[in-house]
Amino acid sequence: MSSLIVLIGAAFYIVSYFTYGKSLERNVVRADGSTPTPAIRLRDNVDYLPAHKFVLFGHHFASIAGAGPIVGPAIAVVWGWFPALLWVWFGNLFIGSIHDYLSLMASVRYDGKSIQYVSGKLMGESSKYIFEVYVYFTLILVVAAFMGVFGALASKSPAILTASTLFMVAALIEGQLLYKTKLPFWLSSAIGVALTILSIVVGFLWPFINVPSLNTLYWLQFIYIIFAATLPVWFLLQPRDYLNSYILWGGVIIATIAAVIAFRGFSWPAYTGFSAKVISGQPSPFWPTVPLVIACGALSGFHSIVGSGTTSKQLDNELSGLFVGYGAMFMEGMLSTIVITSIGAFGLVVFQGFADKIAAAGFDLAKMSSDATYFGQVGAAVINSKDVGIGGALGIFTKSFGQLLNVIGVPVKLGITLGGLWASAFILTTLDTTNRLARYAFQELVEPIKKVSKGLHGFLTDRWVASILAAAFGFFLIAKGGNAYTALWAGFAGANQLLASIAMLTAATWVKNVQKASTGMLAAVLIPAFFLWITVFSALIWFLVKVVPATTPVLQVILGGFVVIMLVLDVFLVINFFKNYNQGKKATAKA
Amino acid sequence: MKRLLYFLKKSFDVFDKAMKEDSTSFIRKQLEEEENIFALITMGIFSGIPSPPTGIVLRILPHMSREISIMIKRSANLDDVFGEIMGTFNVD
Repeated sequence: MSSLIVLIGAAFYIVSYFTYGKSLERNVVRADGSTPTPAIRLRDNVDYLPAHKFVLFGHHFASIAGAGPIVGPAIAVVWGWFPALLWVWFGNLFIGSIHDYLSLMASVRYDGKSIQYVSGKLMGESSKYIFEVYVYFTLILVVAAFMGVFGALASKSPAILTASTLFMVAALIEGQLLYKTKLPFWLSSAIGVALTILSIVVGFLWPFINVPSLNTLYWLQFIYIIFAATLPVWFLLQPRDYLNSYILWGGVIIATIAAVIAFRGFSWPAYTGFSAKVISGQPSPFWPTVPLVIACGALSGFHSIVGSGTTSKQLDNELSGLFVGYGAMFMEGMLSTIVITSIGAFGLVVFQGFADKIAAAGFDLAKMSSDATYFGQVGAAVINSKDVGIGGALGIFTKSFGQLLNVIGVPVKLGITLGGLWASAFILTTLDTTNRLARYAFQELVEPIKKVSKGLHGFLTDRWVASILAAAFGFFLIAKGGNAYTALWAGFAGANQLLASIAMLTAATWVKNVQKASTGMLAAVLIPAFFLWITVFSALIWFLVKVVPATTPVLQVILGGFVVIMLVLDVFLVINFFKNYNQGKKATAKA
Repeated sequence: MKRLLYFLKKSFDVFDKAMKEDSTSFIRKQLEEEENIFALITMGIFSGIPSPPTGIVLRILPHMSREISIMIKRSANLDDVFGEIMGTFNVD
């Protein structure tokens, strides 16, 4: 079954690429290989620089694939592996890949400008501002959710905590080797990779770091992101991101091989019920709440910013856009497929390893194996229970991943450490970059204050104030929010999906007013755009009514406040869309 | 066999280049910032920043054509800086 799912997934993506994808390229974007892209026309070898399409694909994929496509599906499997898989595949095909591809190509037609700039041009300047507000809220919620996810994992695994800490030291050494010594590049890379492997092996054999309390872990992460975000990029961020790419590609390749040759049946329930208790212990209807759980694996608003922020300035040919923008999203879907496959095949094996603790915590493992409805009601509670100690969503993924790698002879615990380092390395890098970005985003957001009070504006935009503010918000949300990482994850995913809906509405306006696509092809963009908008809007209302009141007072005020603001802005956004949708070609893009 | 080895070598080269490209994007951003500061120091005189003396600026001007064209392009992109930064410091 595991092999079949991976092969069906691969076939699904390949067929979709050559049929639906090619049709979008021909009939919507009308990509023309003879039209010079911004990378050619505006080439300056700094900002604009053409890259080979395979190189750009690798770069783009490494930029869009982080911990998101792992964590989301690992939470969503409580609905059963089948609905999670369906959302990943069809969300990818009908929304995510279109969203990524059109954002990239709209940007290419606007001289490589970002999608938020394009949305300002096509849907009014206030849309651009709404975009920025969503980005800021998303960044704060990312800090909170990722701190929670990492805390849940690391607090239950000294091996992963040891490996993650040693990996950070390895990255610091790699930075010194790359920039402060005259070692050849290949040699410093080889030493970096060797140190990464050593981190995993030491974590596996001698997990010497005692796990502190969850609260101490949050404090450590808070202090870490403040300082990490102020260090020069070559010191830690860049070398770690470089080593992360080896972990990402290594993990994807090994997991794919293991999943294909595993020939393992799925013991995890295929479907547990429409309203399984997935988000924060509440019965969560699959529609509309699934995008609050699976964000990046199916579609992500951040991809539109990556695609239009940097990738569009490096695209060598319009005909490479499909491979890079559309193909990389499929690759990310494939990554989520492997996550679901490993949990589907080995998740219950992991549960059996915790049988005593599951029983002691008051859950019936035998009933979970035989009664899917019961599984849907208690599955998330078992995964997240501190007494059971699986370690949350990442815990179930890493432990299933360890079992999966055992198929090709890797010891289970070593596989678990590798999976844990894979996820934690991305989380720590994300926390670092998020804080840097939140600083910039905040400085842009408070720009209007400058007219009212220069002193206040100067204080708020101070590098340290802006940096500490975002980290403190995130820290406060998770530390005082009762460790409710699934609620925070849903808040982050909701904001992220709203970003995607702005990008989709922008793309629809571009396709209609600039590209003048046929009604049928326009529908291929407009229907997913509205489906996404309605789904996320309804999901956030559900979240506000059902989840937020059940959280701590801190979350009720801050998280609830964020959601209310986002919902109000979302209404303004759709009003902007309708105002501008029928106004014909407003901007000067080349059709 | 020879062709297969050639294909594998080529694939590895592309893979290696993609990873370098991904990670050096951060360094490129830092380079851009340093270029901005350099331009401000060397060409600030044109926007009223009195450094360095006009004579020196005029003497180095012929060597600054690339920097000038990049700065003109960047000044046109000033309303879209955040998108580019988001693209580099990705979150996912």
